[in-house]
Amino acid sequence: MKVHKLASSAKTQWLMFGRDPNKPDKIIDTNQYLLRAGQRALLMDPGGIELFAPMLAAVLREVSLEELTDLFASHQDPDIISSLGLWDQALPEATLHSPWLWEGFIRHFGMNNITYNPIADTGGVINLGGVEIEMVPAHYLHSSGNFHIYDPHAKVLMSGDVGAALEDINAPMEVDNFDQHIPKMRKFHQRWMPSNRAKLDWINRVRQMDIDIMAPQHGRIFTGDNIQRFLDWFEGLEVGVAVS
Amino acid sequence: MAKTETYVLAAKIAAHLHYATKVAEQLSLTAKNAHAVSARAGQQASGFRAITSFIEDLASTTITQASLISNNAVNISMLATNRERTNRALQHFLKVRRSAHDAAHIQSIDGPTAITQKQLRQLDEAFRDQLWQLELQLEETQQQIRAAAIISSTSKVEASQAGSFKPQLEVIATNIANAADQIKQHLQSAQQLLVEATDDLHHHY
Ligand SMILES: [Fe+2]
Ligand SMILES: [Fe+2]
Repeated sequence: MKVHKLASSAKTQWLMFGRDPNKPDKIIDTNQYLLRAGQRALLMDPGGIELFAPMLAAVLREVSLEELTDLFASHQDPDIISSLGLWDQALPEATLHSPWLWEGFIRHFGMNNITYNPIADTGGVINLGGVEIEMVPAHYLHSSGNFHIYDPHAKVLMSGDVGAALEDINAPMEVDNFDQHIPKMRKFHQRWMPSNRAKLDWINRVRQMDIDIMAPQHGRIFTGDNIQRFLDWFEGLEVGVAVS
Repeated sequence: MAKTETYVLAAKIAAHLHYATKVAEQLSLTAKNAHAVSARAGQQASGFRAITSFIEDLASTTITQASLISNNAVNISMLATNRERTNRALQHFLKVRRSAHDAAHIQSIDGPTAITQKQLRQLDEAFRDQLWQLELQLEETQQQIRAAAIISSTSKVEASQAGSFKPQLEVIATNIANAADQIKQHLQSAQQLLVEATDDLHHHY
């Protein structure tokens, strides 16, 4: 499991984990994000059951389990949170922030100890010892109950499956040439994202936000002008194509 | 042969008990029918009638017991599933302890590891206890079915003395014998699986 220092502010530090060289071939590569704020840490989209041991090992290089107080699952997918049953044993005191819509489903991954914080449709805030992190609605992108994480301090938007690309395990962490990156994203967004209306609603809200880094759950991160380029490209992309 | 997981064995035991319950329900109907026929046969079948009441009682006890045991076996399967999951977490923790021994915060896995080990011991104790209960319950039911087998051979003798009702009652006696035999088979299969599950437990430790 590779670790990459993503961003930092006076209050928060971001780490990105992924590109695990020991990952079994047929499972999709995922990025996991860890946000530290003082003595607290938040792990976002902790990943699948297959990745639990390498993730736990990687996390313990950065924070102690006592500091890892919060988990976030943007939606219910197995590549997001099927490791829950194991985290539940490692972090019995932790809170999982996840869409209210999926609580009854996500609990099927096994949750005896962790507390479930059901995020309302309008979003919410995670308070990490006084440092507030926003949970931004991203419904139907792609899941019917779906959120992203926005850190206003470091200006990072963790955008879940939005901006995802299917990449080689050795791909760089960051998008360098946007046009060359498009083919790696197009099919993913056309097929997985079901709603043009939801897409536009999200784009309009995100355009109002101050973002330095957009960090998806698969593939590379977007920085600088590439964020704008992504929003423009996504706006023009017809999604929900499987029925047309 | 690959080792069958305990939760699968317990689920199989539950299935056998479920079938035993179904056969016992059938047996109960047969006994009620036999009771009606022997009542109509009057004096010629008085011996047979006495037996049918016994079979009716036995069938209803078997239904109750077998469904209770079946539920217990499902609980054992859930316990074994839980054990499997807890153990999986433990194995992951131990693996990380070895592979990331140089990680700055590696010692923070020791707390969860100790708790998980303790939970595993508690699960094992509960598990051992419940397997033992299951063994007793199965043996008890099996004894009753053995009694039923003896009774059903008596019922054949009684049927042969029931005059014009003889053919009808003989069919019923055969049905009773078959049902008892089927229940016995299911209980035996369950007992064999239980031996396998118990052996498994001893191998673990
Ligand atoms: Fe997804
Ligand atoms: Fe995903």
